[in-house]
Amino acid sequence: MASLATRSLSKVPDRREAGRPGRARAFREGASPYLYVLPAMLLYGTFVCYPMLRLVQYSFTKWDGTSTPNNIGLSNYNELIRDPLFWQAFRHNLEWMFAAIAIPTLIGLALAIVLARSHLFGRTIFRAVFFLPQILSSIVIAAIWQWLYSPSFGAINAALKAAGLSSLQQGWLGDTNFALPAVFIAWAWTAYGFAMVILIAAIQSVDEEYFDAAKIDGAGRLRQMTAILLPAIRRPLTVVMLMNAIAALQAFDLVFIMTKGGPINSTMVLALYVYQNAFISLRVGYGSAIAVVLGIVIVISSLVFLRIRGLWGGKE
Amino acid sequence: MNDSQRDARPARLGEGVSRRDFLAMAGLLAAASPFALAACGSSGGGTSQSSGSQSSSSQSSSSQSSGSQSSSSQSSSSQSSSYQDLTVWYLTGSPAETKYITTLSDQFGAAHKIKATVTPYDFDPINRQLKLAFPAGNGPDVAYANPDRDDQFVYQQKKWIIDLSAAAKEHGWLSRQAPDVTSYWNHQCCEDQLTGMPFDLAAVGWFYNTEIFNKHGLQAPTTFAEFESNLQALKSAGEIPIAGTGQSGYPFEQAAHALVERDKLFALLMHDASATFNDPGFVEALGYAQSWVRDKGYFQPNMLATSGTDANALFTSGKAAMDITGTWHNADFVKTAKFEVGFFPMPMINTALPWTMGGYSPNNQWMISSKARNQTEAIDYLDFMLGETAARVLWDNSDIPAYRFKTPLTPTSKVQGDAYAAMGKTKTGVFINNIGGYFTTQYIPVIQALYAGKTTPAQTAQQLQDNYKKTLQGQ
Repeated sequence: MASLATRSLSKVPDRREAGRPGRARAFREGASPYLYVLPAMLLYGTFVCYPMLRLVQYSFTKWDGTSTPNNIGLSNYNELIRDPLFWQAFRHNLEWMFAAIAIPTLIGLALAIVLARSHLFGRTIFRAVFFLPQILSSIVIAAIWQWLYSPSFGAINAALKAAGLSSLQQGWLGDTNFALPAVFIAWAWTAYGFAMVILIAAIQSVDEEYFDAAKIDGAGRLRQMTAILLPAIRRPLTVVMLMNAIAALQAFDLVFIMTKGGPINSTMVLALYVYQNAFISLRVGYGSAIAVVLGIVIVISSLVFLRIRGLWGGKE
Repeated sequence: MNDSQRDARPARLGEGVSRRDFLAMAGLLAAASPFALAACGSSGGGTSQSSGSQSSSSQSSSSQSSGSQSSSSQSSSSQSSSYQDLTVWYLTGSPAETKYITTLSDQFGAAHKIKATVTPYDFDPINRQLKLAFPAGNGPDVAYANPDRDDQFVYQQKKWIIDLSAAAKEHGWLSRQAPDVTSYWNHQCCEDQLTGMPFDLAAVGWFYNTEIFNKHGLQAPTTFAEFESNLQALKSAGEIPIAGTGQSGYPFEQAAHALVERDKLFALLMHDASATFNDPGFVEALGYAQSWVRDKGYFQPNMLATSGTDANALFTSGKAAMDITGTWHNADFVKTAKFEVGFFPMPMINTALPWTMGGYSPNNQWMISSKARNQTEAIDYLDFMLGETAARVLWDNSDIPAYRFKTPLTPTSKVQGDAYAAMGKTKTGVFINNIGGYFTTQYIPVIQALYAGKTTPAQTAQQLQDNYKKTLQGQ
């Protein structure tokens, strides 16, 4: 009824508008939303769209970052296809992405379930403590984990030694088999907090009556989780996974600080390879081409996720 | 269908992807855009490391300078507001050096009624920042930075820094340093110009723990046979003979300087097309490096995982008998180690060649921006830094100034005396990773593969050669 009343009221001509031509009013009403978003669009265009377009443009050039760029067509992309280090970095990004989708999400989900659905004393403190790594800067995280992993002074090797497990001691960041997982663990330590917070909010929004009804029907805890909780939070869950996947493809800071891509390029990722080419080798054109490919990979990954999300969510 | 139903109905752009989803994705991408050259620059070592450095700068400066506020943010604002300020970007990884260079700048500032703000930078951040800041016109007035092919040579070619010839003549700078010291980098860069002035001298060599050496009855070696004998003795005695980082090519470079003709090493640095890593001397040097690290176990376990900082800490804590690094750590070693630190240059393996020390060169160079708004003050600042007062401060901090004292000073520490004596006996050498370009980015991974035993010395030499060729081809 209220909406009917609102609609009928909206049809009453405004006295102030009465004398104006209908076309002008329609234009004003049509244009006003665009005027509201114009400042944001200008900023977006200036600081996002324009640099993106220039990046694509540079990817077709040979440029050292200081002189005039020379147009070389698709040469950078041709070279990229034949560059084994690019593919190695790409593979590391994919490995990181799949691990990032699963591990921090599962840890975050487990913590969210415990903190949102249990009657644990001091839940707020636990939430704050578990979320803390998320707000630390990359430098701090890298320093903490470098110290933990240090082969000579590190806490992990010291703990292994104290536990009589000296044979398991490793040069964590210096072994080509362990370095990438070691840096990933440092990253995951920060990422699960984000998943936890989003999923706590999602879990708390699920109506308790569903769980009560399930209990009456004899559903156990596991059944309640699989039949009620997970379907109810599937959309925030996919958002968390998508965000982790994007963050994984953008991995740079921890790798740069902790290993610089080493040893023997075993932790090289695409963003670091972009950096090395653009800022160390002064091959800005080639670095731009890698960045463009990285961007395309992220778009495709996002579309795949949204497709999965659509399939998971069904029709609204 | 009501309004709410219309809003909820997916307007399909592709199967399973609604317009709303697409817009959401666009938003996500915008927020986390991977088109990331700029992102790399801001989130990489530059921002994180230099911001750390900057804050340390502000702390050290504010704690030392009386009344002169010198935080980076203040320097930025003062740069635009006050003509009398002087901004200095200073490459250093040493806390002790940061401290004394800040003190010296404050002394200069007090004498000249100028606020000289020093911002210390690490290696990668300063090179990247200067390349962006110089052309943009918001760089420092004075920079003390690495003079390799990818850096100072570019600044000179782009005319981002001024020719110091006239100032050097007017102030007599050239008479204060040995000619080969002043010309070391300028000769490689720009023969007819003086684009940078050296400040201190550096060399890579072998630092040793005198207590451990004395305990085992060892002396600093003067021949390669003695060097190897010492290593074997230390290893047999259960010591870690050498602390080193797997993130440098120092062991290889030390052996290379002991085996390869000096001209061939410099030819690589000069991008001579005929220079090659396939020289038998290089292959032999790579063999020595691999054998020391891998086969004979002269370095600490997990060398590839050890950072330079940790390697130095191993040495200064007395856990390793020697450390292979550069003399720019003199001041920190003197301050940190609980024992007397000694230094010796790598003995020549091929004794027919002149004694050449790896990395022995003027350290970095003072440069003045061509867009400095106060070039007169900048030249005065360099005049002060290149003078005897500053040189004595360097000397008192166990550094080795490029300045030639009229009467030799007494060393303030054994390590300084040893390094100074070594520099008098040996010829200058090179840093191989200064070759630049693609070679520099892939130098350490190639050497690491050798250390890890994944490649043979001959394969490594070929990889270095391939990467060198790619660099010559502009890759």
